[in-house]
Amino acid sequence: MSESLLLERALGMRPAAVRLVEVAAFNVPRDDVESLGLPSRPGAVSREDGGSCTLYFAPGRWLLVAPSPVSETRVLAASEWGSWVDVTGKWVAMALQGEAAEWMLASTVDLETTLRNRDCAAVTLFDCPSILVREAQGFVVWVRASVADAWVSAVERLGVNGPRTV
Amino acid sequence: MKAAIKRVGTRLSDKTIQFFFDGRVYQAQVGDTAASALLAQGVNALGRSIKYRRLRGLLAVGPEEPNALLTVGLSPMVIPNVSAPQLQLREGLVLKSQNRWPSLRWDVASLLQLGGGFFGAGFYYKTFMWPSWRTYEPLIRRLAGLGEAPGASDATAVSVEYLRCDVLVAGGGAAGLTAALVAAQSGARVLLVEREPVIGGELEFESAVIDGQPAATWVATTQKTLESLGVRTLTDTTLVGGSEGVYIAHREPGGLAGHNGVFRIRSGGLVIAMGAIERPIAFVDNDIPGVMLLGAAERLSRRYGALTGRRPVIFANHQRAYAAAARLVKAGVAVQAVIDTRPATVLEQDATTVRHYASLKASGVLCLSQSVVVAAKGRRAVTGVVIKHLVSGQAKRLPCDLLLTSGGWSPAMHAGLQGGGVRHYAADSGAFTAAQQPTGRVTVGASSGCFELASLLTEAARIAAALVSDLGFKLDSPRPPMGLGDPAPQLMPYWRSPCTQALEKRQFIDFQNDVTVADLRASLAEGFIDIEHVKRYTTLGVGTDQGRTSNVLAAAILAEFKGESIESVGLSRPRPPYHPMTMRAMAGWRVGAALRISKRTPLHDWHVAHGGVLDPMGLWMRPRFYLSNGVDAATAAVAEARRVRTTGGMVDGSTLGKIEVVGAEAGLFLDSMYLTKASTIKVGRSKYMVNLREDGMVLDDGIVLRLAPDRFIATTSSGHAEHMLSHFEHYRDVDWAGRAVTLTDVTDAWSVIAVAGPCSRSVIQKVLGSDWHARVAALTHMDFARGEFAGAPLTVLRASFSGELAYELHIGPSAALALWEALSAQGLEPYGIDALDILRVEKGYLVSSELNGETTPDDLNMGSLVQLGNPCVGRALLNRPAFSESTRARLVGVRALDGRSSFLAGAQLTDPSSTRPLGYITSSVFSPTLNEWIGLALVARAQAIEEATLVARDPLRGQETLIRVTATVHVDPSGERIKS
Repeated sequence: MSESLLLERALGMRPAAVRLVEVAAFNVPRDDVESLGLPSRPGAVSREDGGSCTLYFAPGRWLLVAPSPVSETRVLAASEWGSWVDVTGKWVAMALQGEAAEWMLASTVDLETTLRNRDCAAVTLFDCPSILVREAQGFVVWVRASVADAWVSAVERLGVNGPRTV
Repeated sequence: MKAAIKRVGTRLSDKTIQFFFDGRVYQAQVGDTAASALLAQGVNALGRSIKYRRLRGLLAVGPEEPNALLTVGLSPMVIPNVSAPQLQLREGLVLKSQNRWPSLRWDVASLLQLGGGFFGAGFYYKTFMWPSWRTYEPLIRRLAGLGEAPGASDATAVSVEYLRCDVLVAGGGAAGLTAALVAAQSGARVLLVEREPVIGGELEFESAVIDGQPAATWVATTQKTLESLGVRTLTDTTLVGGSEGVYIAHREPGGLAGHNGVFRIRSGGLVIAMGAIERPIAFVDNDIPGVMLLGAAERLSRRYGALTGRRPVIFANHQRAYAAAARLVKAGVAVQAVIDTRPATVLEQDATTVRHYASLKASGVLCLSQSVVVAAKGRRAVTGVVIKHLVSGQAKRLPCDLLLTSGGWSPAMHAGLQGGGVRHYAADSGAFTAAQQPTGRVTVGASSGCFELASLLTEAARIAAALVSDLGFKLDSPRPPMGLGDPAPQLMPYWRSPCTQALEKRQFIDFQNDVTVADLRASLAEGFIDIEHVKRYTTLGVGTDQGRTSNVLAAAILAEFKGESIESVGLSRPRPPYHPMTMRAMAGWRVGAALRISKRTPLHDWHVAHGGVLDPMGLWMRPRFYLSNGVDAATAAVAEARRVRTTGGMVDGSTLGKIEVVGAEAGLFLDSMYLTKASTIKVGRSKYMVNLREDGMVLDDGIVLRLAPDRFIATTSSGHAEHMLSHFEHYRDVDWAGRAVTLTDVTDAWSVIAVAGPCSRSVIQKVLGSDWHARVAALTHMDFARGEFAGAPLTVLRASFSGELAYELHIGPSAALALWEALSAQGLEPYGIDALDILRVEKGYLVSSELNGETTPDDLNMGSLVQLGNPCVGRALLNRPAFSESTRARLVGVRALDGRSSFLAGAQLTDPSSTRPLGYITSSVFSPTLNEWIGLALVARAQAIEEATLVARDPLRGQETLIRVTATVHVDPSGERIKS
């Protein structure tokens, strides 16, 4: 694997300590989204202290990454327009950093289109269902847990040859 | 090994390297191609033709080269059909010529042409008819084929890169560079791809001045300017196809697959500046080694100092021949003659040519007008030509060791033609050019039929400016480069020299496929008249070169035979890839294990470490059995199943599909998805439910758990998880849009450990501890309880897929291993899915063998579910009369009549007195509980009567077993165990 590439399976928080919640809306009153504590611009990422963040990753879909479970009140409040579902363990986070990161992602997706006017998007990377997040440095990719090994081996396979400068 | 003299060329360095060709060592200079190094050392035969096995030399120096294809590497790791003039040599490269045995010089199959003359197109299919083509096929196939297919691969991934730009410029010659410059100056993002390792195109050897600088200086300056404007240039990269804004380019550094890459380029505009391909003229024996295209010789001379003959004759139909001849003379080549098909008056139309003509005459070069070469002479190499005056008919012979021909140029725009567009034939330049092109695509330079530098630069700038303006970029008064190069060609189309019809079979058109003028004539005679049919009948234009040198020539000769215009004959439609790509390049990173992703459960590593034999089930890897229970699947599965019935066992069921359905209308939504109602399930209870397809066939089954009044988890079979989610999502989005129901895939959020057998309750109680003791004890069949284990959420569901007292433990993946190991520590052994199969057949439970898309609820004895009258998806079509006919199948149990014999799934069932199929066996297992073979079968209703005798016929596996029909439930029909 190229040294310029940093691949991790965690986000600073231990995986077991991360609670994941998917929010799905059947009817989102546009003005109310922010009052619900969710980013309102599709593809936006809102970050809070302590490593929590919320990804507006697909139409009517948010992923909450938080160190603690979602409160009952928040769950109840959602019933008017959607749902809160605990999906802890469904997604595994991978950090891709270094100069090879963009090149690696560009070998499986049109990066520019995917992240145009967005900081995150649901996308298939190396045939694996993923959520791609642009970070200040590099990317974080949330991969479905059952295919995380497949994702890593695809990245490693590319890493053997390293990025091609052309 | 010959000691080669150091050559000087624009692409050569002084450093020498060695390589192998057909077992001999040769020297080369760094920068040399296989073709240039071999030709420079006097090797002018580089291969044999595919059909007639004629010895062939080099014709061209680009991907249009039809003859000189080499195999690189040692068997089995070979790369076949690498074009010698594009193959950049490296130290120690091993090369082999193709289509010959035992050697290039002596080839057995080439004797075929001595015996019976040439085989025309269709020869094999017409000749080897009795008793059948198949009799001869293996032998003929061995002789056929282009090169040796690789027998092994190192399976490294080929890099694939998605790129994006506003304007993609294909080709980095004078026109491409100009277009790129104009586009970049307008602020557009430009990507330039160039097939060669360096940019410049024809400017590499053409005598030209641009903007007051020598061409080479202008190219270098332009390259710097482009870089400063942020233009990315990909050399060694060919546009191979694409349409509608998405294009594929293939990078092959050094012309060698194995280090290649693929680019998927999304671009607003495409500028095709891929130049033009010089084409030969047809005359007798125009394929002898030493007959070469004029442009190829110029490139070889300039780039590699590889002069392939000392005394060439030039045969052409345009002004450029004189400029080229002058350059060759200047390079020290003793040009013998320039044979021009045109009248002498044409020469006088431009001053440059007049000057070249005079200097050639002064150097003693014979210049003949209105003359043609009618035949090349020589066996292994050209030794002379026969020339004929077109008016007087006088013929004479000239000695030479090289014959350079040029019949004009065919614009290269194939790669851009895949998105539609029309070509038309321009008679004055003898070229097919683009007539209409889709929006966003333009053709410039020689690709557009413009062959003269000054006008080409102006036009390229104008066209590029119009394109970027269409794309919305602003350009302040573009200033096109001003250039002066070789004179305009003043070409007069000339296609083939006169000869008798008998000799037409030695006038070659498509060198790679040995298609001759005679074959074109035969094709028309056989009724293959359309150009596309001619292509299929004669193989004209197929192969690695895709007929680049032959297609237009063939169209012209067909036009002559048909008495039609060349325009109406037309060209066959090019198809991608324009240039050969390896299959691996198309696969990209999807090689080896990455060909198909596999899914793993959180317990995957445990299974592997404990002798689990894993098999792919869909995308999932699941343990079939554990080696600790037996050496093979059959033994182990029987032992595992027996243990579940006697004591207990556990199985990894994490692959089960799980969909969390939430919302005030979740229950109603599920009612519409299943045969029976979910809205009536009480919180904390679950229910076995069945889905239908729209046509009434059973789609899937599973257990639905009600977690809260507005919250359910619907489980699906492992293989159906994705399909069921999209099935649900379809109805949620179409029929239930905006209503209070959401769907979330939670398959990976829950691991499932199924614990079954008489000991299951006590083991679970021990493992989960005192908090859970009473709760587990209180669970009746289909109840569940929720809580935590090791910090992860846990649902304990009392449900059974084995017919035993059983529990499903749905656990957060982070604690799955801890729970599994805790159960294991209590002595619980794992079982695989083969054992699971035995257990479910014993109980008559269904899997995909029975839920095969052809069975209705009634067929599967689930008619009672339907009678509850829930108007769900598929319900209406269940009333079709055909579904209740006596010929429809019904699910039954089957056992061998003698209680001993085996039978296998797939066997056809018939009446003992007949061979008419009445149904078939869907599942069969050896039951350790009953100590005999049991199964499930779908049998016509009239015969689906208990104790009826049928025959299971299995001719493919040589089995015939008398069986008796039974109830579907073989073990514990009253269900005492499950309720215990």
